[in-house]
Amino acid sequence: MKSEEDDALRSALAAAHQGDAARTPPLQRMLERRPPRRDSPLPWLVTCASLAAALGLAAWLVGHLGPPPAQLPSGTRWSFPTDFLLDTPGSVTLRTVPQLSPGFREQLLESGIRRGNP
Amino acid sequence: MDRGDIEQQLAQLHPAAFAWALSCCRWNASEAEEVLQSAYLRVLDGTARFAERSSFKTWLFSVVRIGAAESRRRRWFRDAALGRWWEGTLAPAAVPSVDEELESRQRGARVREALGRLAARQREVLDLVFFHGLSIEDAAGVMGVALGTARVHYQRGKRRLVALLALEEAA
Repeated sequence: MKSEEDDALRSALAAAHQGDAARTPPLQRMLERRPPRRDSPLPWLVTCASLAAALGLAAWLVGHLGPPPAQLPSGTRWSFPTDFLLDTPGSVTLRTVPQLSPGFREQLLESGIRRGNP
Repeated sequence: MDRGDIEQQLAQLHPAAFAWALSCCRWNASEAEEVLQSAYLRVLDGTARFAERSSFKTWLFSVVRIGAAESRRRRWFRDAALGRWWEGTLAPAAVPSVDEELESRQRGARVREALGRLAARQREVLDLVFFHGLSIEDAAGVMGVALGTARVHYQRGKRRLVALLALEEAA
């Protein structure tokens, strides 16, 4: 089985290489030194020019576009639909310091004196 | 080995070396010719030196393989750098000719297509073993890999190529 498989592959590879011999260039021609082929520099020039243009555009944009706004304009407060869940009973009291009127302070002091506290 | 000996060896191995260069260059004849010529020039001017650690054929094939890899890298780089855009669409590697209408040539083209679907090392080891008649050990020397690695590529490549060819024949 293995050798049959090997023979099949050998024959397949031979078929793939069929015609190679006819295309083989003469050795003498291969041994003659030819000047190395120089590739055109144009693709490189185009690449470099494109990169330079892109860099220039980026620099111009950076110079001409101002910095982003430091804070959002007023009236753009985002509120989530579930914000009400955070409002627990009494949370307003916890967030604010109660303001005592001057009269209430006096009353408080007097009641303290009456109870014997200095 | 003096220059006369080297030239004699090259003359003997020239058809096989060209077939190997074609295989390394995916049957692109002009690229294979350039690769082979540059390999010959390296061999003759002493840039690539035969240290007699393997047979001359194994060593020459490895020089060709390295040259083909360099050429492929250069080509890739050139194409990547707008070369493809500048030169227009590249010509396909294998130009079908009228002769390929013949059944035997069609089979060759089918096998080449199947080989093209293998990994490069699998293709190389199968070509070296089944067409050029090298042992797996020599093929490993040409490919610059360990014997075990070459064996793995050989087994996997063989299995895959057999399956691909069976599919081709069934289609």
